[in-house]
Amino acid sequence: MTAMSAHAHDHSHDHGHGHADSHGHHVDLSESNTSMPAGWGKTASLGLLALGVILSIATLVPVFTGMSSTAEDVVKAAKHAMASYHTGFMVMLGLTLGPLGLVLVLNLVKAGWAITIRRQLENMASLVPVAVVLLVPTIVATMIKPDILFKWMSADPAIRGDALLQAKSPFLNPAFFYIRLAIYFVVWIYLATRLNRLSREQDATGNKQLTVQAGLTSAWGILAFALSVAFVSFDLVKSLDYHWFSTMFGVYFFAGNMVTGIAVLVLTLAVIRSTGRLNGLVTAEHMHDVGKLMLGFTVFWAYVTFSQYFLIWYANIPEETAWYMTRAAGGWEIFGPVLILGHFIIPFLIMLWRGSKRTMGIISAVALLLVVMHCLDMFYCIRPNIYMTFGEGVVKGKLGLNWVDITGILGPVLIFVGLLVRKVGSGPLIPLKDPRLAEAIAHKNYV
Amino acid sequence: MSAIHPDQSTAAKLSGALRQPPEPEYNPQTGDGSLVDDPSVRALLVLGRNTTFADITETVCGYIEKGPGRWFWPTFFVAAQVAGLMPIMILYLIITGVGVWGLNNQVDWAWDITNFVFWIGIGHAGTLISAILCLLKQKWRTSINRAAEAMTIFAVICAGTFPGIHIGRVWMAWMLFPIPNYNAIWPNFKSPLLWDVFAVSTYATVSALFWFMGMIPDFATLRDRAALRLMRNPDSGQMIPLLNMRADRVMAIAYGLLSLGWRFSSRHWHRYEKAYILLAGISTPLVLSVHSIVSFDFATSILPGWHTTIFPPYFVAGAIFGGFAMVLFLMIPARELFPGMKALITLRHLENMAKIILVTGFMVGFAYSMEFFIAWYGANRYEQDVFVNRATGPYAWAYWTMIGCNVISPQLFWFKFCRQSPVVIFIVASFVTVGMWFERFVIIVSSLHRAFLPGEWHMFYPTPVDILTFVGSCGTFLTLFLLFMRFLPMFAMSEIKAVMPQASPHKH
Repeated sequence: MTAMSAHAHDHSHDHGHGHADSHGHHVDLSESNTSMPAGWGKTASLGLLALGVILSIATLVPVFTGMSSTAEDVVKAAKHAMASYHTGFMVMLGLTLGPLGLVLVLNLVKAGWAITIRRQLENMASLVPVAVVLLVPTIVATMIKPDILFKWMSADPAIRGDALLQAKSPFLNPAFFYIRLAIYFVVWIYLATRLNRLSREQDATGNKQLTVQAGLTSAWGILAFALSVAFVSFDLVKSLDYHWFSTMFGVYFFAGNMVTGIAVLVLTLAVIRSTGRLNGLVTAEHMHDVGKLMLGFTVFWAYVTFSQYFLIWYANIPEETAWYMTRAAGGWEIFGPVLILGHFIIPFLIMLWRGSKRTMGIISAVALLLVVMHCLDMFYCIRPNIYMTFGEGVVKGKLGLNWVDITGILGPVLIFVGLLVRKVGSGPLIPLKDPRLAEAIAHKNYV
Repeated sequence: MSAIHPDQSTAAKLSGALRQPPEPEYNPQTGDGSLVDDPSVRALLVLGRNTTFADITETVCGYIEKGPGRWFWPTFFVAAQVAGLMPIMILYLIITGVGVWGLNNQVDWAWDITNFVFWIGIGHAGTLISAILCLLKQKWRTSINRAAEAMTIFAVICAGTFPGIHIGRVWMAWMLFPIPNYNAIWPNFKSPLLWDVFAVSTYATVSALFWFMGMIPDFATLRDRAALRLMRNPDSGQMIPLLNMRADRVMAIAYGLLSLGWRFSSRHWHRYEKAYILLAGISTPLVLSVHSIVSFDFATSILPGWHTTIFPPYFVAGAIFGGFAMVLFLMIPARELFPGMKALITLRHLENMAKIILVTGFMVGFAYSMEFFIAWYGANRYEQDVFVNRATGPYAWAYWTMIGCNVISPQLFWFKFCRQSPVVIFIVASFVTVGMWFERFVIIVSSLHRAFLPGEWHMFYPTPVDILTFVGSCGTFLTLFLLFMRFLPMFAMSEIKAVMPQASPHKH
């Protein structure tokens, strides 16, 4: 992929006539506007990457420093560390999946306005193979101690003998679990790689047919994407509490990923624009529409999250309410209101205003808030499984907040950001010869 | 864009030099010219390179002024006869009692609530097209938005009837509303059934406002054209027998009243556009909330098959699916019957809608399979039994009809020639309409007829009264839609003009 983007540089110059923006001004499509400066972000990328790796490793420190205490404490510390790391991993995975979904949709609906922002989504989606690497520690830890994260893998006869787990064992068994993970990643890597390749090939050749091919791939791709994202949320998040189930969970996970994916897109564009690049290519008009998308998906997330909670609360069936009960005690009760405010009400009220979508500072601040909130949301889904228990109508447990929770989440996320910076600096910032580029440049919001 | 400058062609048009009906020519490559595959070219939204703004006005107003043609009154007559079944059946129901229906103590929601959810679902496409597609700047929506909005209103009218007559003592229907009374009896605010009353009535109100507001400029056009004809020649035109007035006079008065003093001033347009975008913004969450609340009617219960968390978005997707199918079901024949309509609703528009059918078909398919999977995964025997019973029990035929119509039939739209053939689209749209009715039937009846205890098991068989009431509601819907096609502007003229190339002459 990198080799191909190198080609693209040579061709970006001979764009003879150029394109006019909505005011009829000529838009600069030369390399000085459509690529980051040579060597840009190298140090930052390495620094972030190193920090991410160090923080990820640091997450394991309490496991080793606790070696002197009882074996039970060590296991507890390891479980805590793995749950925090898993939270970071799920956020990182979502940051590749959300953008992948959006690229599929933009290709399918033949969106014209979004051409100049699409490359950054492709960059984020292209990091999906990194998620495979970041999943390795979890898989290794699970190999060493099967129930470190996934209690349903436990060898404990009390858990093995659980009637509900036995009923689910055709689905929840290690072999099938790993096969499924392999299938999801094959699908995502194929889609992300192919769509990136088509887009970058077009930078070089300008072949319009590549756009048609991307559309065709996206057509079946969206179907595979929908199923795989729903099922990965069952496998990697929902199954942590193997008794609980909700048909909405896949949609909930998808909605969260879309919000965060768009939020990180906003932050990426803010960084690029701050260097003066993409002048006339990503304007307030484009940010306005990206902001609308972010607003829309924030509302969609709230709608899905509310519906899931509300239906379970109203019907009040113990097998379903248990999940929320363990998240409404022991210090976890603060997360619900925080998410309602921070993941919905505050961003909703700010983003409703036209000016905030068109002002880079405000939209970036809201995007940052949404990323933090998504981390909390994933934390809220994953971490209570360590300390919280629900049985005989009694909820027991604690929040057990620890610095490990910060490093565990930041580690994988910073690795993602470090690699994204490198990716952004490595090639053209927009699809240079997309047949709908002129439409994106002339894009304007009326009314 | 066009070789002739728009002003020149308008001038030529006014002088009568240019009189081409905008009938598209058929091209094997691009169909009517709108099926361009080149990604750098956007298809024309209104066909005919020389089509002027005046042509659009002439075509759309012509449907009302000249009448739709000979087919209209016989069709209307038949539809009105069928519609007549509905009040007759309702009257019979009220006089005799709910026993004339097939529902019973166990299956206490059946045919009537199926009809309610079916019609309310149909009603969603209109607001989706006029609100959500407006916010998404999907310009092709201008071809169908007015008709779809009209359809929404008529579908909501049909929908609203069923819960009203389902309550048993129809004369107590006013108690659905929180009106203080002597006995201090209030509706149960904790019940989703009451939220339904609010959701549906709000939806009906906002949709009607949206629809009416959109028509105001077109009413004013019709008013002015009628007034102009009268001024030019007061003695022309048909006499309307009882009123003893010329048709043009009646039109000038009626459309004049409806147009609320619209004068086409810039200030009017400015406010109109602001109001339109605000209504679109308000209607968007409304569309989602209405069918979500309808889904709450079922999902807040603890009945296996009803209680599942995916219901709200699943119902919304199903509503859009069924609504678009109904738009296609009505507009494909209309395209054939009204002259010049093929230039306004192009093959590309039909293809876009076919794609929406395919996507939303997958969404409901996703929900069907998710429900099935989680019923198994949840390991709740009652839930599992309900789903096995759906697919293999006494109502399996209904379940497989639903799957065949909703999941399998739209698969034809993977093939380009199917998406581009109005006949195939029409057939699939009919299947989807049938399938969406059966979806509600499956959800409601198959879940209720076998609840927890075998002693409660009971079958539901519709009676002729059940069936004829539904047939009557179809007739009502069609009658109202035919009246709409005859007397109201079927297209939003200003919006169509705004998506024509002349509207942005500086764009290249």
